[in-house]
Amino acid sequence: MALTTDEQAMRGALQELGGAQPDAPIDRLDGVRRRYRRRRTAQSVGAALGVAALVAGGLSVSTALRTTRHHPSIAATPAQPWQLTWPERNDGTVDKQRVLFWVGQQGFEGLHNVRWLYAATAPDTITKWAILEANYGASPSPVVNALITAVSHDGGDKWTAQTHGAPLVSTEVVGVADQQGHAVLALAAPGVDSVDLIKMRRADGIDEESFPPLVNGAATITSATALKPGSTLVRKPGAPSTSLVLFDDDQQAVGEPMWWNTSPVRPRGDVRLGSSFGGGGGGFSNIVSPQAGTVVLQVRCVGPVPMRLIVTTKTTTQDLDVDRCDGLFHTYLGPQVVSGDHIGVDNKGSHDRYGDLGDNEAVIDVSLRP
Amino acid sequence: MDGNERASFAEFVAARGQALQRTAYLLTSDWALAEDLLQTSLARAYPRWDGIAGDDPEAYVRKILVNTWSSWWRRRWRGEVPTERLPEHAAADAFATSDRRSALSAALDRLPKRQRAIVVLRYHEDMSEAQVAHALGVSVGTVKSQASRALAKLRDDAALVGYGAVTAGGE
Repeated sequence: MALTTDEQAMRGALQELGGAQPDAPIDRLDGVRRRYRRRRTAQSVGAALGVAALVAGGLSVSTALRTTRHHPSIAATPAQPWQLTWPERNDGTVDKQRVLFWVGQQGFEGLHNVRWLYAATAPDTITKWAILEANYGASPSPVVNALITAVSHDGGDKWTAQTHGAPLVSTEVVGVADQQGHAVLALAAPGVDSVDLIKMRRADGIDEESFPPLVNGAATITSATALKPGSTLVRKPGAPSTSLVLFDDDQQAVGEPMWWNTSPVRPRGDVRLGSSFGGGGGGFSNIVSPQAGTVVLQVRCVGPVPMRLIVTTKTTTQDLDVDRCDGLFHTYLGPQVVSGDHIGVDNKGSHDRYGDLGDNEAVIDVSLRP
Repeated sequence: MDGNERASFAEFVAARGQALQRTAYLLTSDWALAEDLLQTSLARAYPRWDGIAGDDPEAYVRKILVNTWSSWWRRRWRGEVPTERLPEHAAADAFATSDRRSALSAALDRLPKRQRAIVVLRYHEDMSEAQVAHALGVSVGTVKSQASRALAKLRDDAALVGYGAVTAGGE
């Protein structure tokens, strides 16, 4: 695109303005390393102060509740059984009515049972985030239990919302990315004092780094590689610390990442038939059943839910809605089969009526329960 | 970070440090602050160098730089910002270049932070609108509209009257 006269003039003016540059300090590199060491030290100290920060968050909640009593649509509501019971983290910089307006504008109609988890400016950024759990949809459409995240980069004027399946109530950390996919916000349950980021970018290893100390239960990190919009980050299964798992590209499908290699527990004598790992659509077909029994799918999924699996045999087709994508294995019972039956499993990804294309990353483990 | 990565990082700082410091200066209007900003940004990139060195490290560091500067804007005292034009000097010609720089610097100071970042990245760094949008986490449309508004403000800025084509009306 050709530049206008104004643009060309601006370019020249900026060149002139930055032209008389002083020499670089000879110890710039050493200065960087010193700052890095100081920053690491400060983070260690800050992590130890995480619990204190959470207490402060609790205090700010009570203030928020008092001040919002005259606005029932944004007031705190008792948690539904499926909702997280975390306190609301609110620093008073987010206009919650405005968030709800924009959420409504983006197709989340019939919002009810709204429970706010976070409404604040993320630490060390100018980005405002809102995280809430709510039902949306109304009869005859299905009512969805959702975690709704909204982010604003313009000081709270406009908000972009995403929806995710509601996490398990035992969840310790939820992580969400902004619409560009680079900024990642981690919000932790009370009592969690630090969060690590696990990036499974390669088949042969795991990149791991710590979030900055939590402030008001939250911390942000910038990812060099963009997450897909709507990505959900969850705690690393079985991790000794509270971590997030971040799937940010398709390279994990090459080879066999550690995540893929972790087998589910097979109770009741289930016989393993096969498993697949991947993102988006796909699946596998033509598994031959060695004996009669019930097809059992154990699905470990990360990403937006629901994910639909279609299990086919010679005589039946069964749809399974995978409604939990929290990084843990969950069991779904499929059709009955007899010896020699061919079994197919088709991962349709996530195609809900809100146009969420999903791109879940999932391990689909198929076994047979005699 | 192993020896190769340390060498790669040092090479990057040596090769691109000056250019990044210039960008930092256009954001801060102060060379000391610019060096502070650059070092802070590099210190944030340093522990992640393994993951970013193979992609586009300069774009990554520039993004950190702009984000860090944005957060500084919120929490730092910004010092004195003149609100009135200084009286003209009798020997203006001798200081014409310096005056122009001061005027432009002051005009940039008066821009909202995002408009300023867009102006610097778009017209100094020669980044495309899409690249600027990516770096700032905004839409391309926002970059276009904000750049247009920034140029319009600079065009109308009283301190820049007579400053080349920026004030010529945009045609």
